[in-house]
Amino acid sequence: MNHKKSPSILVALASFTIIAAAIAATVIYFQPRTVSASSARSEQSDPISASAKITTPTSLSALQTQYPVVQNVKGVKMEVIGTSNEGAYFTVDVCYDLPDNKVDFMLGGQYPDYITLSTANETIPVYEIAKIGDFYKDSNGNYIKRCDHLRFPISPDSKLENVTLTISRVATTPAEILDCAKGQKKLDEAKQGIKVKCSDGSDHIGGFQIIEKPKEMDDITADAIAADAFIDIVEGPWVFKLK
Amino acid sequence: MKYKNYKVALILMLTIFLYAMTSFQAPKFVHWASASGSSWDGQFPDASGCAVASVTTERIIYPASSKVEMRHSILCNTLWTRTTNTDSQNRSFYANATFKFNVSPSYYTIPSGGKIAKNQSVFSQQRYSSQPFKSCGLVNLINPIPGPVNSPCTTNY
Repeated sequence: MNHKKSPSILVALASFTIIAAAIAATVIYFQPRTVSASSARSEQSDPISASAKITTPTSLSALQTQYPVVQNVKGVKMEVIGTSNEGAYFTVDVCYDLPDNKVDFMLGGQYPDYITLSTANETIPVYEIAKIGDFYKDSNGNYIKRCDHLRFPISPDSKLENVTLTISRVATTPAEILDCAKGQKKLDEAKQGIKVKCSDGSDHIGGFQIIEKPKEMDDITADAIAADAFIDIVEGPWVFKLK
Repeated sequence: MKYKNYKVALILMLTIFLYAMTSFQAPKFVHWASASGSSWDGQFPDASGCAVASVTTERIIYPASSKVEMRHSILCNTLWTRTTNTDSQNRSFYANATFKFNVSPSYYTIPSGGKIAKNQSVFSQQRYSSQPFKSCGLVNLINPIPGPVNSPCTTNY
């Protein structure tokens, strides 16, 4: 009796093996599709000029050999990989580690003067920050590094001597609709005497307003303290002597 | 009897097969393989849930008294514009956030309605398709700020 059953079981096992192999092949075939959204976008478009675009570690290495200026502050490695003149702008390309692998960290923050270019005769705040290519990821898919193209407006009178790039901080960006309770809690714990009110997103308005602060505290200080309550920050500075 | 055993084995096999096929990262495949991302077009990032987490900034410019960002939801793969009043003298302004793209109607433009205080922002609808994209915006005392804003803008994305 048992001998009679075995052919059908063998057929079933063989079929199962074939289907399992097909599943494995399907999974392996589709593996590369689990790229990030931004990766998909960078394949579709050319977000930045070819000369500045960095999409592979190979091109990064090529630039690094020309411009190996590296600073490591508080465990965040930052490197200037190139500079150029683009008409009315002096540009600097910078790559940096993303603290805690958080994808929303970036250079600077709310105000342009967190990133400045000092020359022989002036200090110029950044005008534009534009991400270069895709984020870098490790083998586990964690976001580890980002590169940005910084543009500083220069006039014909600008003397590009003793050029120093100073990046005061890397920070996350505030959400469209803030977690007001969380921000207020941070402010209360810091005992700064600041109270804020947040917009709820109606009429597509976000952000916050300060509704109470100590009399002796000026507006700029209060704003900076309150704004920092809604983001994560790694203070630098990272300072690069470029020329 | 022989036929019955075969049927049992076949049902078991099909069950395992179906389970396996629905277990392998189905949400990712469905999201990226389908064209459903276009359904985000024109929706606001907060109402759609796209602005909840994993939002990055692709571009920032700093026009006078303001910050104009091109925001990117990694969750939905959509982008939009956010304009923030950053005036150093603590003044309130009218504001506009304009997001430009490559097909008709070719832009979304959102005026703030009333004045917004320092540290407040206005954000546009989001877009999944039709690159290249550009974010434009400003703050000033004109009400309403005529839209779409054509300058200042970020570089193309």
